[in-house]
Amino acid sequence: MNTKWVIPLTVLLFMLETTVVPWLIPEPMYGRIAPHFVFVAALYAGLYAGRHAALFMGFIFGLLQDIVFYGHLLGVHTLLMGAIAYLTGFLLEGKRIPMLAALAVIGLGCFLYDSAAYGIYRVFRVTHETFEFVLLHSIAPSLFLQIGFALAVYVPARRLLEAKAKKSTDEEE
Amino acid sequence: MGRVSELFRIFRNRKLFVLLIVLIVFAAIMGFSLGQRDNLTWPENFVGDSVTFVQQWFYKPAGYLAGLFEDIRTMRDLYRENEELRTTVARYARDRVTYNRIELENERLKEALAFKERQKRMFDYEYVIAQVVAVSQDPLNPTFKINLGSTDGIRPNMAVVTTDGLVGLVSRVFPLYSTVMPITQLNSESSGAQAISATVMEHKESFGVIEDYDAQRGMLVMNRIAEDDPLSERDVVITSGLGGVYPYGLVIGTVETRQVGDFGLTHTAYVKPSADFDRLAEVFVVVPPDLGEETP
Repeated sequence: MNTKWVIPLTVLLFMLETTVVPWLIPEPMYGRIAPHFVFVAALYAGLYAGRHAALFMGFIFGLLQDIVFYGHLLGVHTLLMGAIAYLTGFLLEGKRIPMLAALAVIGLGCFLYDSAAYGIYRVFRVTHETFEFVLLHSIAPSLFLQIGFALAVYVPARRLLEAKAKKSTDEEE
Repeated sequence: MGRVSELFRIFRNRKLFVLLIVLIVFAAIMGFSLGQRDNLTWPENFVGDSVTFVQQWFYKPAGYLAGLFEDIRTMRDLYRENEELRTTVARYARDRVTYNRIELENERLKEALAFKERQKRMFDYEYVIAQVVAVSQDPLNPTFKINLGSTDGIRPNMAVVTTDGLVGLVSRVFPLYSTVMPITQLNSESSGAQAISATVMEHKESFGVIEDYDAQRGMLVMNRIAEDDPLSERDVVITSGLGGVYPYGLVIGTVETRQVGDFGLTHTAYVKPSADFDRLAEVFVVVPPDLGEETP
C-alpha cells in the first residue's frame, strides 16, 4: 500500500510547492520563503524508510526540480537532495528517533541544503551575494516554513514510511 | 601490475570510489549546462514539458482563488484606482490623436526617404501573450515557466514584459514551455552574463548598460554612463535596442540615484524596476520581427 502512495503523494507535493504555495506566501516575504516540501519528504524517507529509498527520492525529485526550472545550471538539486537525504539515512537509519530529534535533523538538513546550493551557485559565479545576506534574506525564514511543514506531516509521513521499512524487512526474513 | 593493485587498494572502499565518480560527473554536468544552449536534449524536453503540463492545472486556479481574496480586501482602493484610470484614459485618448497623426507622417516620410522593407519592419515587435504556469522554489534560481515554447517561435534571450515593464529574459526553451529568468538575476560576473543596453525616455542620447542587480537595495545597477550624460534622477529607463538582442523602448524602471562608478571614469545609476516580479499571472514575450538571416 505504501510504495503505491508515497511516490504519487510526493509528486503531488512537488506540484503544490511550485504552483499553489507561492500564492499563499505573504507579499513581503515573496521570493524569500522557499518551500522545500519534497526535500523534507526525502529526509523523512531517510529517517524512517532507509537510506536507499531516501537516495532514490532525493535524486528523482531533485532531477525533476532541476530540469523543470532549468535556469542557470542543471544538477544542483539532484546532487544535494540525493546526497543529503542519503546521508541522513546513512547516519540515522533504523534508530529510534523521537519527534523533536526528527525535526532538528530536518532543520539541519534544510540548512545544509540551502547553504550548499548557495555554495555551488557562488562557485559557478551565478550569484554574488554574501552568505550573511542570503542566510538572513532567505535561508533562515525558509527554515521556519520547512520545520512547520515537517511538524504538520510528521504523523502521516512516519506511518507511511515506517510501515514500508517494516514490510521490506519482513520480506527479507 | 603492482601499481594497478595499489590503485585498487586505495579504492577498496567502494563507497568512496562511487562518491568520487558522482562528484566528478555532477561537476561536469553543472559546468556543461551553465552556458547558453539553444537546443535541449530529448530527455530534458520530455521531462520538462510533461511535468509543466500538469503544473498548469494547479497554478491558475490557485491564482484565481488568491486573487478573489485579494479583491475583497482591496475593494476600498477600487474607487480611487478607478478615478486614476479615468484620467489616464482621458490622457490616452488625447495622445492617441497625436499618435495617429505622427504615425501617418512617419509613414509618409519613410516612403519619401525610400526605406527598405527590412528597415521599415525593424521595430515591428510582436507581443505574444503567455500564461505563467509554475514558479521555481529556489530563491537563487527563481525562474518561472510560461506556456509558450520553441514550437511557438520562442527563442532564448527574448524579452518578457508585463504591462508595467521588463520582467525577465527567456532562459531555456522547451518545445511547449519555456523558463524565464527574472532580470533580478542579472550578474556581470557569471559566464553567461547578459547586459541590457539602456537609455532614458527624457534624453535620447543617454546611454548605460544594465548588467547587475543589487538584491540588498532591490535595484538594478546601470553602469558605464558617461560623465557628461544628461541622465538624472526620476528619469524613466528604457531599452535602447543597441546591440540588437533586446528590442527598443521597453520600460525597465526609474533612476533613483546616480553616483560616480567604481573606477571613477564613468557613472553608475541605481534603477528601481517598474515591474512587479511577484505573483505573475500573464506576461508578454516580445518577439522581434523575422528579418532574414542577418540578425541572430
